[in-house]
Amino acid sequence: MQIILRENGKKRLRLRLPNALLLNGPSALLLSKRLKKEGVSLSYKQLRILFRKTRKYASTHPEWKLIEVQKKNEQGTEITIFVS
Amino acid sequence: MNETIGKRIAELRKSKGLTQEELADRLNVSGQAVSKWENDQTCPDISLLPQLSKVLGVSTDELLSGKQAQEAAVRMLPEEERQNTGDRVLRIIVNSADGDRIRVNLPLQLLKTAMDCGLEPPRISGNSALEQVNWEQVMAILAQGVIGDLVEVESSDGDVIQIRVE
Repeated sequence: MQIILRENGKKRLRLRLPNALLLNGPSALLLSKRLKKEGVSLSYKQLRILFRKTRKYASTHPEWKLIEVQKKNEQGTEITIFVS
Repeated sequence: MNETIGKRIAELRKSKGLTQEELADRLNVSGQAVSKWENDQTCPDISLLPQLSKVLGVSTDELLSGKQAQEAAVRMLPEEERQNTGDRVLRIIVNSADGDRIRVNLPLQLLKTAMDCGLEPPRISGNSALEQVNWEQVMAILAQGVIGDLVEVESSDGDVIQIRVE
């Protein structure tokens, strides 16, 4: 997973985190426990399936950007964030 | 495109490399009738229009109005491509009134898995307009192979939300 922050077209931050580190069994377990507290019923097994499919999709579609946010502040600075 | 239907028929006939007699034969009318259409003395019978437009390779709308059909905002995929959700992406586009833009690109295969798991549809910055979208209906439409602009909503605070499948 990459989080890229651009300011006026220039790259300001690039955070790279391996998908295998984020979307794995232990994180699915932690997330399912957290979601249970939030009242969302999503089991460890379901999250594992979702994580596996997400990793597979990301590996076959490297150009995929999950979220793009463009925001203009008062000084006209354009900030773009990609999560891919 | 030419202004009168007669001029359009003549133009299309010539572009197909047909003579007036050949066109008349295909429509089971006389050559004189075709000549009269093209000189705007008479119009083709309404029952002939489907066949005439087919021979000339245009839609009846295009033949009558002279305007080329615009590409539809929504179209159906061919049946053999519907099962393959592989590269289809559901895009949720939010253009806020103050100029901010949010794009969420959800691959259909992941969205389907997520919804099968019981996950709720995406919520973007708590936008109230998205809450009114019937996601079950959207998924049912997608399963039928529809692509294009599915939903466009403008909320009371001026945000424009589009849901598009590409």
